[in-house]
Amino acid sequence: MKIYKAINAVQTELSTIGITKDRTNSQGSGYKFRGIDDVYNAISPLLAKHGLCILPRVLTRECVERISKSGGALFYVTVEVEFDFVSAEDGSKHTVKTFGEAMDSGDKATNKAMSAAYKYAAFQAFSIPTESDNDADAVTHVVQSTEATIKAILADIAECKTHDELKDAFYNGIRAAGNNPVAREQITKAKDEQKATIKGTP
Amino acid sequence: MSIIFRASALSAIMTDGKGNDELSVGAKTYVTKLAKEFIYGYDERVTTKYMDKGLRVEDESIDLYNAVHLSSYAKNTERKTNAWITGEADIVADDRIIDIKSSWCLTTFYVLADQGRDTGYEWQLRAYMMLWDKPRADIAYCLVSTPDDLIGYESKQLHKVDHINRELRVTIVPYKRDAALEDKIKIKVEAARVYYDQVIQEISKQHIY
Repeated sequence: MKIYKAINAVQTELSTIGITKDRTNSQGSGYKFRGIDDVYNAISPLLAKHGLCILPRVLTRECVERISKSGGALFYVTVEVEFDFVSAEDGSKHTVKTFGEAMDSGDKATNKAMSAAYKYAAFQAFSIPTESDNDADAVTHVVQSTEATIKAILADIAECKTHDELKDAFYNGIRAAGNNPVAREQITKAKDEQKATIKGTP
Repeated sequence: MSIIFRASALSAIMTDGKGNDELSVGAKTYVTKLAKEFIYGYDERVTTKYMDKGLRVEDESIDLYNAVHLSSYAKNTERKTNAWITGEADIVADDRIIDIKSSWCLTTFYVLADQGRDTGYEWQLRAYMMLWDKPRADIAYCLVSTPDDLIGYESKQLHKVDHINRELRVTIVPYKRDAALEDKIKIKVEAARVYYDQVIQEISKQHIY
């Protein structure tokens, strides 16, 4: 079982060099953080030196669509990942499981969430010294409150002049409401009220 | 206690044998399977990726249907059972039953009502009309995007459909209630029960336990 010896060897070296927080969050409160590149740069030569492989395996992925403060779509992804720490010398292994969360307005939320899961697996497995617990992604997304989102949807519905407009607003509204029963009820009621004011059949 | 048939599986016993009221060979095979499941204590119902999609996008399909018709239907959660059949309809409206069928992809989506007049689904809807005492039942074939992990190696073009006009993604197949066909359901269920008991007795006879 050479795996624990390899992990300990990497731990020993990291305990002296650590990983400094040399990046600053450009949005939000401007806090310092360690990026995934910092983690890779610090540990990859040590993994190679001590014959240790870290192999990821994504167990589950959950994606929820939210609305950003500016009204755009925001994808919130949570991944559950297992990392096999394997000794290249005798194939013995130890599995570490972590969760990663991330938000992105494009197609990067899953990648970011996997990076976060890796980062925390490395921090915890190697006990990398940290100055505080304030570690997060470089980008902070502000999610609109549910109440504000519903207000915006109801306002959209109230402004519809045709059935086609109402269909669009209603569909977008109930999809955004997700499984929130109160929101769905409010949106449905608003749709029925607006439908009654529009002439003709849908 | 007599066996009650699920509405979704009713089509398996509804095909005609040599005589109109007799069970077909296929129906007998299905009833034999049910008897075997009962004796050996297992449930052979399997899930496929098509069924998986149906379950996972059910709410989205109902939202699509509601948006197209500006209706406000919610998923029914009540199961009803009578002396012959049991079932849980998707949507129970005042004047009809609506059964949502989420198509697998663009290729399998029925664009014309005649294409979607599948007899298997027809018996399921007749069972629901009987259980809820409604004069009409609609199949609503809905086309919504397939979750990424279910697409596999198939073309995304056939599965990502959000850009297509919503009205083009719902096809309605209406059925009217028919008392004669409901009588046929009762006759077939009775015949299936007789055969089911025979199979159970035969299994017991051939295996001393």
